[in-house]
Amino acid sequence: MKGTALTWLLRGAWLAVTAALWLSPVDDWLDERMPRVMLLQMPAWFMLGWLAGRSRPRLLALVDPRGLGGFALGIITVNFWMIPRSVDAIGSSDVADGLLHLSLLSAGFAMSAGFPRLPFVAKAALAIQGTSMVFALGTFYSNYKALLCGSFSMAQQRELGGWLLRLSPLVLVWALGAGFRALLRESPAADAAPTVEPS
Amino acid sequence: MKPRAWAAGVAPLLVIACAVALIGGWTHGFRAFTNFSIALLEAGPIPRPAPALPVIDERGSQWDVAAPSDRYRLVQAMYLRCPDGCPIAMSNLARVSVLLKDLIPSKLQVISLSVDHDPPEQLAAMWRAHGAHEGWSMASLVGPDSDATMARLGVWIFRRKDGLINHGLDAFLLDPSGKIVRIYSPDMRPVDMAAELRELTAALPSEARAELEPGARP
Repeated sequence: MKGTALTWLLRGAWLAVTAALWLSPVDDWLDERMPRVMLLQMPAWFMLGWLAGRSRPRLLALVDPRGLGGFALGIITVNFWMIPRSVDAIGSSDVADGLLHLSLLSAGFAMSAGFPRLPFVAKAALAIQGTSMVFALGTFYSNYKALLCGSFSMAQQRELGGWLLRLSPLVLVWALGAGFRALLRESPAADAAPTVEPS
Repeated sequence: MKPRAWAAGVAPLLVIACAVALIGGWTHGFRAFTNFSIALLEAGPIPRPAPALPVIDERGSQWDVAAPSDRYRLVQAMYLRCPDGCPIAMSNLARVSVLLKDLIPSKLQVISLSVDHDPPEQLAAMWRAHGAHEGWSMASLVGPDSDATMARLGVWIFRRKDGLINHGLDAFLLDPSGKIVRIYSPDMRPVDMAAELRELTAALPSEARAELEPGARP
């Protein structure tokens, strides 16, 4: 009974956060500045999708048995919204803004099935690529002399670059921590694996 | 092959194929990733004739920047209230002007083109603040639809809700006939731009003056 109540409470909280993010004035506030779009809005929608996907593992297994489709969808959707023209569209069109919400929600939902099933090496490669991308984008946005996203301003572009540079050590620490944890989790299983003597 | 295993292999391939089609279309075949570069692509390849650019300059004179002239013209968009991009771009233009002071204004005219209908008296104040160079004009586009004119040139303009105007900062080089022959990216170093401009304008004899069309700046 307690578990059911908690589940309903979590579902209610998820719905409340989703509605708050979608409706004005929170959405307008997030769309106003480039750092808010890239560092708050995009991760928030992706995480909401991820959480929704974690609660529906059977459905995802039915649609995407190995999780590869979801994994590809997640990576491609995130990369699509990193294109400067796409970022511009978020700031200038309500339709594009709505598409951002739905697509990242779907990407997080789909990727929640694929990512946990990936082998350690693939996860590590993704973490290394992600960490270096945060650092590279931070350096790029901080130093590039021209405006890349026309809906925003140079000041906001540099501010985003500064935030990405500040966040990159944290992302690195998190990626290393997650990597070590995964290694530790895998090692007892490896130790316990039966060895076959050559006959 | 079992149906579910087949689905597992096809799903990612389908996603990737759709993504390539979508992103390819969105970026004009993976050639342009910003609205600025898309405006350049949509305006057409160079060399091409520049659209008519009727302006009023810091002296109150009206002329057409793209009309045939006796010199090359380097044109860059700006507006006087711009808080960040334009001051950087204009300081780069000032650097180019200093490096090419022997060619300006005899072979090259530099024009900062306002997209905000800045009046001549304010343009003159900015012109004086930048050293009142004879070969560097500051002018405002005149006419009802200046944004469409700039789009034909290859400049993307976005008028923000807060009143600021985001626009392309590429510099367009017009030859004496009024054709766009080079487009310089805003991140190009002034020294490199000056070197290329020196090379291009070297072919233009200083004494041979082209037939001036009505509307061209004397």
